[in-house]
Amino acid sequence: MKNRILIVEDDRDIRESLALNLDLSGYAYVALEDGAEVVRYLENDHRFDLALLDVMLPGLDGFSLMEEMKRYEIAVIYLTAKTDVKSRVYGLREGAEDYIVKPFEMLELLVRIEKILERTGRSRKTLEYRDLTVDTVMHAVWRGGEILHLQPLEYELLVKFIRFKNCTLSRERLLSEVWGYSYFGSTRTVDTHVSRIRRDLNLNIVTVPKCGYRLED
Amino acid sequence: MKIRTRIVLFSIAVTTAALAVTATLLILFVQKTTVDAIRTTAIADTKNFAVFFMRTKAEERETSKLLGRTYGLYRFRMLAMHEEFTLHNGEEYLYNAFGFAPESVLKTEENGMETEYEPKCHFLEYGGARYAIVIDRARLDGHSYTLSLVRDVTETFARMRRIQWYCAGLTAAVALLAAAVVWIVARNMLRPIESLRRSAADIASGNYRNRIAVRGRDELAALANDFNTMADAVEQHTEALRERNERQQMFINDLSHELKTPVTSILLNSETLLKRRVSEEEQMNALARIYDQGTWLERLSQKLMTLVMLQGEIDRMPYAVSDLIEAVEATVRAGIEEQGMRLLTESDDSVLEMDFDLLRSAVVNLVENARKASEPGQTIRLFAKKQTIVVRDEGKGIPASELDRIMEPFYMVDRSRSRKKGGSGLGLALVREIVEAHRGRMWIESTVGAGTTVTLYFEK
Repeated sequence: MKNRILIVEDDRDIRESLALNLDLSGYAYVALEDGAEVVRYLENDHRFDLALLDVMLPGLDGFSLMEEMKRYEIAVIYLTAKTDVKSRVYGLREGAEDYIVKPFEMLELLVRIEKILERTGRSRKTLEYRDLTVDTVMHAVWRGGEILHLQPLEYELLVKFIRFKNCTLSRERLLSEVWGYSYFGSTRTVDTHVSRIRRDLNLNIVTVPKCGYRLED
Repeated sequence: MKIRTRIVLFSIAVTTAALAVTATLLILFVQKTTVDAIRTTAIADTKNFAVFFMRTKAEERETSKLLGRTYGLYRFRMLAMHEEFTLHNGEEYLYNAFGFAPESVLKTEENGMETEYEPKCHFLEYGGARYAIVIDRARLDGHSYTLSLVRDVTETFARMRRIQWYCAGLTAAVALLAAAVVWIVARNMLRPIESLRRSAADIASGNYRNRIAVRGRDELAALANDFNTMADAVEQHTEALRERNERQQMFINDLSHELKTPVTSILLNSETLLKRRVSEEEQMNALARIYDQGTWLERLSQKLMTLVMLQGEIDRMPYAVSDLIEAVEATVRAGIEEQGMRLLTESDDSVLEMDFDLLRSAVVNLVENARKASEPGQTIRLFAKKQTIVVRDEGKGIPASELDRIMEPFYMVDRSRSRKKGGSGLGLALVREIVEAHRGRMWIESTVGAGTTVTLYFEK
């Protein structure tokens, strides 16, 4: 079951890029451009896990949509060009999970979406990639009916790759996400582990020059 | 020194001087009259005494010296008030109740027996007392005598001294009293100045909205009025400055906001291309979006450059208005007719001082706006007469609530739709800047559903 995300953004280009990236990362989405339209839409369909809201919207602004989001228990991330601290504090105090200022990095947004879903207990419990199944509750990996034994680091790495499938992850990001910020190891460590799970689990991890690694379908 | 202190000190000085002069003159007068009175009385008394002394007839013409002396003294003693006089027979005092000899003290040069002798009154101090002395001559029984009045006037002079002190004291007291009165009066009169000063200080400290309460119709009220006028000017100035500042701040805020949208789009799309494995079609779409936003940024920067340039002076040359209208028409006619609308133009042969390219782009902008607001079949009118250029359409119109704001930079009535049509929201703001740089004015009348009229008016 894919996580459903509501995109509300009035700029067509940004809306389309968001949609494309969410789709590639395995989310289902609905993209709307008008605040008032959102209210009407939610009356019929409100099974969303998370909403990406622009603040300055035609119809009804993003802050005013918060009520609706609370009513349907949809987590909110504001995506906005408003940099002033007042708006940021207002947005977060009103109950938004996060407040991201434009321009932002797509990968950063995806990471935050994952974290919020995890925090609110809505992230996918089982991840699938080809014949692999990962149970994130039991921390177990199956291939077909057979359980695979992985080192903790290898498991974390695999989960990251599957969660950000089709997405290039830099060595630095992998290092900070999997090993943690306190780890001062070299990116060579990442290379070693990546090539090990690629070989052992037979994963289609592509090395993207100058960027990092990408797990492809 | 405070004005009040100055006034008080000055009034003390003036009062004291005036009183002192008055008192001195008064004292001199009193002294003179007193002394004159003493003198006249003394002389009169002396003369009377001498007459009384001489009136006693003698029986014997020639008596011996000794007898004559005894007799003279006897006559003298018989007279009342003789205690005040001395009697001298040319050789010695026959009677002198005083401790000194008046004649020698005065060093009188009255020798001989002039017939025309007129006694004078002299004053002298002796042994701590003051005396008035009058010397007269008298003859009796062939003997000549000198009669001297020695009158003690110490008390009279002491009284005069007392009057002097009294006057000095009175002068000082009256001066002090006057000073006190002046102090109070000055305080009351200066109170409006003090309140004026306080209000002025208050305004000067930044409360430009405050005004001084004007009371009465005197010079101070006029000053307060002038001051209020000045405060008005200052307030207007600071208000204008503040507004300009605010407008600039808002412009910068809006600009940074406006820049963020295309930059976000460019970054997101390039990131997608760089890090995602996407289909070829999606790649082309992402590239197209980057290209679109890039061109849009370029257009925005062009407009911003124009805006910046307009802050300075522009070069204006005389051009025929009909040429301008023709040039605008050449740019816009095709687009308008393509959408099934009509363009009507009209111009007279007047001449305007203008930067041709700038003004043309402004008018083109207005006609494009009219086109965007119009439906197929409607007519757009562009005419230039005298100092006026008018663009009129029959389109959807602008709501009254938006009319005030549409000339603000980045303001868009229908934001998402405008952006789709490539609008930056800078158009009307730019047009206004251009018109104002030409020392012209621009106003917009509009009725929803009936159309919009934009009028540009240029001063001669």
